[in-house]
Amino acid sequence: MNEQETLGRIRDAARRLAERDELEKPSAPASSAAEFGLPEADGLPELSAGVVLVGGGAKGAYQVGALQCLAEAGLRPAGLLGTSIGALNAAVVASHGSLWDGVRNLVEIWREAGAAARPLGRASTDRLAEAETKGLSPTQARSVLTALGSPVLRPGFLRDLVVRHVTSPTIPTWVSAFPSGDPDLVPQLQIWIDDLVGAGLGRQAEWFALHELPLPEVRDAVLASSALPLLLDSQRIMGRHYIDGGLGARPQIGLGDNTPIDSLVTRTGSRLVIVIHLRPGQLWDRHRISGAQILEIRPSGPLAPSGLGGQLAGMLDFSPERFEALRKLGYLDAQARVATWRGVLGAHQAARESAQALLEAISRLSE
Amino acid sequence: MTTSDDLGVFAAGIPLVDDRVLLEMVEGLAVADDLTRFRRGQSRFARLMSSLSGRDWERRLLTTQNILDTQHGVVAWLTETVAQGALTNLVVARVAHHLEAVGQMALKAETRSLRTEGDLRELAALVGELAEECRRAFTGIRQVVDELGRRTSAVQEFMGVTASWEAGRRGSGLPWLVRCVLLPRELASGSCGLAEHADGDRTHRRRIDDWLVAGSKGRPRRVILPDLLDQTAAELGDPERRELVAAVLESGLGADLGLPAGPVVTALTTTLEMASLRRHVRPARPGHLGWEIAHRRFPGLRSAYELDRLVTFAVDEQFDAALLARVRAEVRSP
Repeated sequence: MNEQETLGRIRDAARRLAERDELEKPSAPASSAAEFGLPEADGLPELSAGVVLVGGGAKGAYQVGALQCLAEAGLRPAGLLGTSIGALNAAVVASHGSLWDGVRNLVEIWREAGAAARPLGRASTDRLAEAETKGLSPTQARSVLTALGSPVLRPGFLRDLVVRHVTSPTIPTWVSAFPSGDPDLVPQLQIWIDDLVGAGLGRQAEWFALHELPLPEVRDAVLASSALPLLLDSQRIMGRHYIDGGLGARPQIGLGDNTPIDSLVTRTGSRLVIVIHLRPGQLWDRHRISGAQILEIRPSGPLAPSGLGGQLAGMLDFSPERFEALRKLGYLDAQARVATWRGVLGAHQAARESAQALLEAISRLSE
Repeated sequence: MTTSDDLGVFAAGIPLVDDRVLLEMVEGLAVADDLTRFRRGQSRFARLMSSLSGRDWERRLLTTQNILDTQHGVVAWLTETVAQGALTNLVVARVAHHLEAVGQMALKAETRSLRTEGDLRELAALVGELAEECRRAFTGIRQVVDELGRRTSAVQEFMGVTASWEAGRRGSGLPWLVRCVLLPRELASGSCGLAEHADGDRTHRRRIDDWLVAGSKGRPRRVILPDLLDQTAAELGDPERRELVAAVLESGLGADLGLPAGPVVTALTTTLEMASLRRHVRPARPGHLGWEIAHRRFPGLRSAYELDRLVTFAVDEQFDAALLARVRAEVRSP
């Protein structure tokens, strides 16, 4: 390398340090930042990472916004892990060749669900609170919730949606489902009690590698992972019945202790994993995961009203307004995180290059 | 002074912070911020429930753990940054040292340049002097060559003229005294006179003396000039021949038109003019009268001479007259 080239590199490194906003952006589809009236997200240099999407019902709209920002930043998902609504989002993304195409499909699905849903108004939340207070039976509770008009609770709606939008994954994908009882052999009430007790005693959800399953079972696994307890029927996979994978996750953690991040790292070779949470103040310790660099996107504000009723309403409110609000928040939070990661990595790289250029220059000077 | 190798070793010893550590730092801050914000936003009831369930303690522990991670990362990064700063200082010192060395080299080069400039100036002066010496030498050589050329021409002319006179192709039948005037007059007007005028070489006068004296064998050694003038006029016989000789000697011309007439020429031309007069006005002894008139004009003109002295006197008179005419011409046309 001659002196001119070295000086050029030093200038480039200095410019990157001084003007980080001018870093080259990866090629990305038309930005949706304008849609939100936001500055565009900064790019990540050739970033490939695994993505973990936790469960949370309608709060999964937050993941759509976060994934949208990561797509614009140039993220290439090396693998996906999903639980419950995260499993559905992951399966849709994995059905496409690129994150951007997957996100676009997700937006369509979520808007389709929103169009079929009725916003949860004041009356609805009051009825939920009343149900919480009076301690309704599961049957009574189901009838109440069905009356709320959530599309995911309509018979066949979710299956139809999965059949239309989920295909064999092009990206390694794992989804979790909680082993449940066979409703043909055991009364439903006993199954629910058994599932709740089992979850409380630490029974773990099981993880299905969708990329290793035939398409029908892929869809069954997604439906099983998304099957909210009490509200949707369990799914039969390889002779066993499964329901919502979120049931086997630790409530304050959002992920089970057996979350196969190690499998993701081993299978994809990507040591970088991005976890998108759906609860502020999530008690999830990335230090428990060894062998991977964990980056977290945490909601900067509550995704649902407080209280058990609020939480339940937050999980079931698929209204378009709620979807757009959560998607924007997810996009904003991801944008802030990407900017931070990018700034640190850019500065670090510039410092390394300038130090190398300095040594090369001084070496030539001595010659 | 550090060398580039030393710097390389120093740089290799700097503990580099991995990208992962930096990402851990920002992740730790983000998680701690999220947990703290969550706890701050909890209601009293939620706070109580969190405390009772132990989740608040878990959140505090997780917050502390993340802050500690960040602090460890800061220490590692600070260590690297300080070490890189030290490396930069060493590099700057190295560059400063190099600049100092370059400055000294530049100073030496400037000194050498000035010295070289002085040497060149001195050499130029020497070359100038040498050129002047060469020019002088060439001028001297040219003068010598010119002088040799003039001398050669004079000798050749002398030999040619004397050979012609000896062979009788010229001056044949002229009286001795006339020959002693015309021969040096011809040579003084030619190359011999030119060589004397340019180089001061008077040797031709004596060579002519010798040639004339050598051709005067049998003549008396003592010469009475008035008698010789009469004899000369008599030998010319025909008055026309006398007038012709007088005309050749430029009798009657002003000093500006011909050679200035000296005592011998004056005496001879006066004698010939007197002898050419008609018989009844012609003096009996025109030679004596001619000598008398010339003597009045040139008191140094004696009446009796030794033969060789008269020859020398006549030759010197012609060369002196030619020399004077050339000097006058130079004065008129420098």
